[in-house]
Amino acid sequence: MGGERGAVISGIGQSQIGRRIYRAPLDLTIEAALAAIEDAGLTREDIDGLATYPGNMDTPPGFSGVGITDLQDALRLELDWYNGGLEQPGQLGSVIAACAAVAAGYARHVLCFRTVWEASAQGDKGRASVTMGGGGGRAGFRAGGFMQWTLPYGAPSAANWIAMCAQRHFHEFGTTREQLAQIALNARQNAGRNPKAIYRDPLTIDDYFAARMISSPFCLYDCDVPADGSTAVIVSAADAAADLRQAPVAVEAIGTAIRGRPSWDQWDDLTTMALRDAAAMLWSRTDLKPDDVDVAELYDGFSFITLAWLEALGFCAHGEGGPFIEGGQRIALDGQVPLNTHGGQLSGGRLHGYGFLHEACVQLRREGGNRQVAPTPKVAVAGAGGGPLAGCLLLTRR
Amino acid sequence: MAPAVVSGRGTLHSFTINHQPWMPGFDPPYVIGIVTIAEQDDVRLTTNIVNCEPDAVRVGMPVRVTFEHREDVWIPLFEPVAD
Repeated sequence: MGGERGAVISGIGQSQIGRRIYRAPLDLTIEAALAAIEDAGLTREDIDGLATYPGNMDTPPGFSGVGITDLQDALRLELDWYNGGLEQPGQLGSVIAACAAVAAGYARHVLCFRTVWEASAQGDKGRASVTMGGGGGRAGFRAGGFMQWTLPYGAPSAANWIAMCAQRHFHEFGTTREQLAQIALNARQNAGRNPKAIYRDPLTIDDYFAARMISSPFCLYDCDVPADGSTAVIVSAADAAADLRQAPVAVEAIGTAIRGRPSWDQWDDLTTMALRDAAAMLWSRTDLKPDDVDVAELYDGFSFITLAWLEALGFCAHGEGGPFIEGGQRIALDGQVPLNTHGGQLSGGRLHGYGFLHEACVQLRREGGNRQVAPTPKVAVAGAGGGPLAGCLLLTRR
Repeated sequence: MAPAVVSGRGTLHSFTINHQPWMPGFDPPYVIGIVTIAEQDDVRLTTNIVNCEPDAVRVGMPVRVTFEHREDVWIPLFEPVAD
């Protein structure tokens, strides 16, 4: 099967995570990177590859702030291979590129990272202050890219774009807000067991319906919480096991496909988004089936995206995500598909994709403590991205 | 590739009622929609649905274009029409 079998995840690390902690993004990144290197049993000298998403960007404020060159220089790394940028199969596309690099022999140990400091960037000025590339509302500001088609309509946020995907799903399949709420309630339930999660107090269905609306059908609890934090993983060549402190997590299959128009509003089926193609590719590269998955860590920038990942990955049929999550039992820690066991981005903090991969490894390594899925998971899936962005990995621990 | 004249008619493919104050000049609630143009069902515009109550907006409703002049640009907005 695929070349990704030549890659393993040998180390994981995470910085302090919080709201408005006002630490420099490079400082957070170094903390996560050194933790991951230590966790793998490696040293800085062993790291010969570096990968990140989205690379260094000044805008939107807090969205990145640390690129390849910043971290290479800070850690004085001598690299054989590196890759950073925005145009990848979602946030985890950067990790998948690293898998290809080690499988091809370009590098042996690739440090992959994603850093956000959106909470500190917006400070006390609210979400809108960082949403429009820092230019919204400024006299003479002219948007480029996709934003030029949405800013004239007061639609600067992915909250608006994904809300329309959700509304279309509601229309075609009769999905309800009460069903969608389970994604948020489940995340909060699990966050209560994760000491690093940002929001840990219990959340009820009544709280959900009492929350202010953001962009229908999304209320506040359908939207993830901006955070400061950095996550790092080490992708190593599968034949490098002798270098490592512990048995690594194996990469079984990856999904990066995109076959529809790469756009938030022109995509042929808004109810699937690009997740459909990435997930289909993943299953085409393994003999494992959705039934074999013991734990699922699926992107929840907005609650609907998680529902769409569940459908795309075949945990239920297309359109049946609402009934599947209804009541929440199937996705609970002791359910059929334990989902977002760390609290996701909705309650754990918007670490932007990498948090799901980190948690998948935690679960496979049986390091989940209070939130550990039992019996010990052998197969985990991590998926990140929404709209026209999607990438996913199927992981095992032998 | 060249521009083509179209009727200005379309169908509302999906929408959202936005409640969050994102930008000056846009006072919530207002309706953001994706309209499929009558001439080609894979060409869509993100736009605003205007001249109706937000709660009256439905997926699948027929709409027609109405232009708003802002600075040096004519912005295509859409409003409901009877079936």
